[in-house]
Amino acid sequence: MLGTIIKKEILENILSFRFVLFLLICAILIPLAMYVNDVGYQKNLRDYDEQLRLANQDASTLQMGDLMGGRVHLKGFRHPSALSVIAQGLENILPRYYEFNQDGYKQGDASVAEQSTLSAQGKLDFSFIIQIIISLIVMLFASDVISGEKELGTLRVTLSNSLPRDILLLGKLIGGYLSVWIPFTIAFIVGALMLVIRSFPVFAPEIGMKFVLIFFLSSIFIFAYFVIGMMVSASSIRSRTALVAILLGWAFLQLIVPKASDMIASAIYPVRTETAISLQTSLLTNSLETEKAKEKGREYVAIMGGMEAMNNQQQDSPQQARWNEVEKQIDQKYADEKARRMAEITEGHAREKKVQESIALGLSLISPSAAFYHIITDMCGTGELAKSKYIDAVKQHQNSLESAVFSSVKRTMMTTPDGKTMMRFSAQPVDFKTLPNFSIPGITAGEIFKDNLANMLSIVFWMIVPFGIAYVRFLKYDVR
Amino acid sequence: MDRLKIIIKKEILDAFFSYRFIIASLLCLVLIPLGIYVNLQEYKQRLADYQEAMHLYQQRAEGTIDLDFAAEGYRPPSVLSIFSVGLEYYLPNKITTSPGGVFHASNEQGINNPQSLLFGKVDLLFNVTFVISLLALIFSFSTITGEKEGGTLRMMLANPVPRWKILIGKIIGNYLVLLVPFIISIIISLMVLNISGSVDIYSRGILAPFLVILIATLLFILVMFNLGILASTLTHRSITSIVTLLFIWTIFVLTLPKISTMIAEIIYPVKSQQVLDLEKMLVRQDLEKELDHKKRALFDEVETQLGMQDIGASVGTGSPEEKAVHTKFDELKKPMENEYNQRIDNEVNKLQQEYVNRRNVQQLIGMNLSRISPASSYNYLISEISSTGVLEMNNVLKHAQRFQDEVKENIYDKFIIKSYGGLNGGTATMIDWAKGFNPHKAQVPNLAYHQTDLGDAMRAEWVDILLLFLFNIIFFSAGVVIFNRYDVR
Repeated sequence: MLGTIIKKEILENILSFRFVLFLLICAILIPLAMYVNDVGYQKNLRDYDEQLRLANQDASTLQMGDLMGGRVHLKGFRHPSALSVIAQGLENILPRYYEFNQDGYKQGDASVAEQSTLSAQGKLDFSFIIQIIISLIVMLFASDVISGEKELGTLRVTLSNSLPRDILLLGKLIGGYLSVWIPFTIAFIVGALMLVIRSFPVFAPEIGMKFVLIFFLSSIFIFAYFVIGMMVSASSIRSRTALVAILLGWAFLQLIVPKASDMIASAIYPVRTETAISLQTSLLTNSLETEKAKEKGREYVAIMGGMEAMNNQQQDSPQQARWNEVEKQIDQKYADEKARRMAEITEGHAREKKVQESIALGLSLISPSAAFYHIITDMCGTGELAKSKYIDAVKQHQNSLESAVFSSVKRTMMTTPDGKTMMRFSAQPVDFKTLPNFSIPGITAGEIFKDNLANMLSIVFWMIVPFGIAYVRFLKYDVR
Repeated sequence: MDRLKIIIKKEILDAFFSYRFIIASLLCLVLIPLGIYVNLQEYKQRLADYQEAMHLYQQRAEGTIDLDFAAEGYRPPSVLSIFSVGLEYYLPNKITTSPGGVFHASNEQGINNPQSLLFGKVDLLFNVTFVISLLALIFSFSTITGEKEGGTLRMMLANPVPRWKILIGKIIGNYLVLLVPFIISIIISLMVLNISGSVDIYSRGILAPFLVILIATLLFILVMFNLGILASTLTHRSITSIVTLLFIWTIFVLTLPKISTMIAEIIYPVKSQQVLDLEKMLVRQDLEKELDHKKRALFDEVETQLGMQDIGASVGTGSPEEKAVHTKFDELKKPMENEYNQRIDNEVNKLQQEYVNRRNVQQLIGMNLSRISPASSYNYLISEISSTGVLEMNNVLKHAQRFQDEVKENIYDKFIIKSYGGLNGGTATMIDWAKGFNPHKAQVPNLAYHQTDLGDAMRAEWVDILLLFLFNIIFFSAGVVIFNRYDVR
């Protein structure tokens, strides 16, 4: 019995004109989006290689003089994510590189800045097609599974057979879902084949695995939307009403919740911006440096009896030894002070941001669409996880450069009590051939899973609950 | 005329009591004021950041103008970004000038909130293009087919009333009903802006552009309306009508605007800004090296001419012979330096110009491709009027170049660097400054920034206004023609 219903559903759908439109949209848009994004990825990759080469060339001509003059700016580039062909996410929004110097790190430009107004709204990619376009069409297919048959009067006839309602509902669900899943699968395979032809490493172990997972995830997502559409259909008497309700529900779930959740979060829990924080930290650094210089000058004059000693230093005089001792103490004191106050600023900010982000995330879980997008961008290495990994890697790289390069130049600034400023350099040689390399650790499957647990639960919720509601409503449905 | 009024009245009443009106009202009343409120908050934040950055820069630079000094210019955020965020977050907000003549435009806003970047912002522009356009279709897809299905169309046409009058009546009636929640939510948003006190909505810089935005928005909603009615006259069942419309909407709103720039990137590729900067640097370095070589050769020549041994770096001990060498050298090297500076400027400008030209062509291809969709035209129009569009990007670069030139003339060129080099590789540098210039009292240069104004935006965007009118006329007249031959049975 179930088989008959499924067959009937599939046949009916395949022969409808919306099926042709759907097939066309899938078969054109999905491979096209993959193609276009692959072209973009290859371009990014070439740019990346070229810039890395030039930056390395630049670094190899560095000399001690540059380091002492504070002219060493090293760059750490982010390798473009291969799976950005599936989900662009933050790919073009993240800075392409960070610049490191003795004062700290600074973000470079993002590639989005070079593009036009429209691409700032996001690019057309596989994830967008699934999340926005296909979800809408799938709900259209589901909108008249119940109410459409009722309007035609066939529902009454069907149910006059000895057929339990739950079997009918299940048959309609499976049949209807299969008739949207098949065109999607075909389009996905065509897109993947095209990537293979363009020699994109689809079969590389990690990427191949992720391709399968992404396909699986998308199938589940489409299923959730089909069930939601069916729930609306089973709750309305006319398919026109069902359609309008679906459209408005779709606009709410797809367009509004993911965007508005963040805006609401920032409205109810405002956080200082990054710019304000970086201004604050640079202000702190400057004021501490000035204070340190003053204190050093005072001590130096007290110990050595005047600045004239700077010119004829005797390494082994007792005063010199005492000064070295004092200088070390002062350095230590200010380093501690700086570390403490920096941590105060940045940790407080990080905490606030974390709260805001979790509010936004919680709100966005109302929509399975946001959940889907979070998971797929994290899988593709273009999501929030990729961003936090990038920033962590940058911080770590700054530390390793600090110990390998920047700390080998010691600049002593002193301000004497009468207001004169003196600068003294001492440097240990640095081998610029063996600079530490910048690299971002890969995202592990465990991290993706851990970060997206709530998102996965949200999708599961949206599969089960609408089905339950559809089931209950259909059992009590007035078929006349 | 009387009949037209009756039809309009009937349509208004019909639409008012439908449940889609309630939902449309809810969506408008929540989304539009929320979008404007949140964008207002973010604008205030950006403004505060801008002021603080300016202040700190002034503090840092005051009285410390010397050879290392690099003047910085900051771009204030656009007030109208409360209506359309557009490129606001991606436009450079800091210009760093350099004595060499090349400025660096950077964006230091940081990647504050990845989620909002991931999903984009909800502003008035987004609400209209995505949500209200969909509502316009929902209000219009069943105007003809619905009456046919209900059997009332036949009866209505049995009266002596021309068909085009019915169509116009239906458009006006339904359109007015949709405008009610829209206008109310706009008024609420304006009240929010007014109460917040941080933005003066009656100032000329806001009121005039806002009115143009409003008119363009009404025009765009009407385009979507006419499209809905056209689809309704083309089909015989409401369900077919809405399915067709949704596909068209998907293509117009979701696909075309996004894919056209990508297609343009493929058919007309342009190298990235980074590569350009590197090329500029290489050209500059090459020419500077050449100049250095020539200068050294010249110095040696002057030395031998005056019968001196290699004096190298020992500058300042001041024997009369040495002074003679230096005076002669200074005199001879000046034309050489000027020539090279000129050449560097030319080469760099040529590269920049080539790049800008190519990028403009690419942008134009993408924009023209996307103009098949009225949604793109509307987007371009609104973002340009709000000074957050492509024009603004060019405006930033123009301001940056002017600022760079100004600072170079007023500050960098006032420092005179004399550098002497001998064959043994040693160099000595002396710094002096031009007459009448005192680095300790020089004023810290600031970037005076003016956003593109309404006039500029309209001059650049008249095509899109025209297109919006054209779409209205085409859809409406096609609707009339087809409805005249519509089978009402």
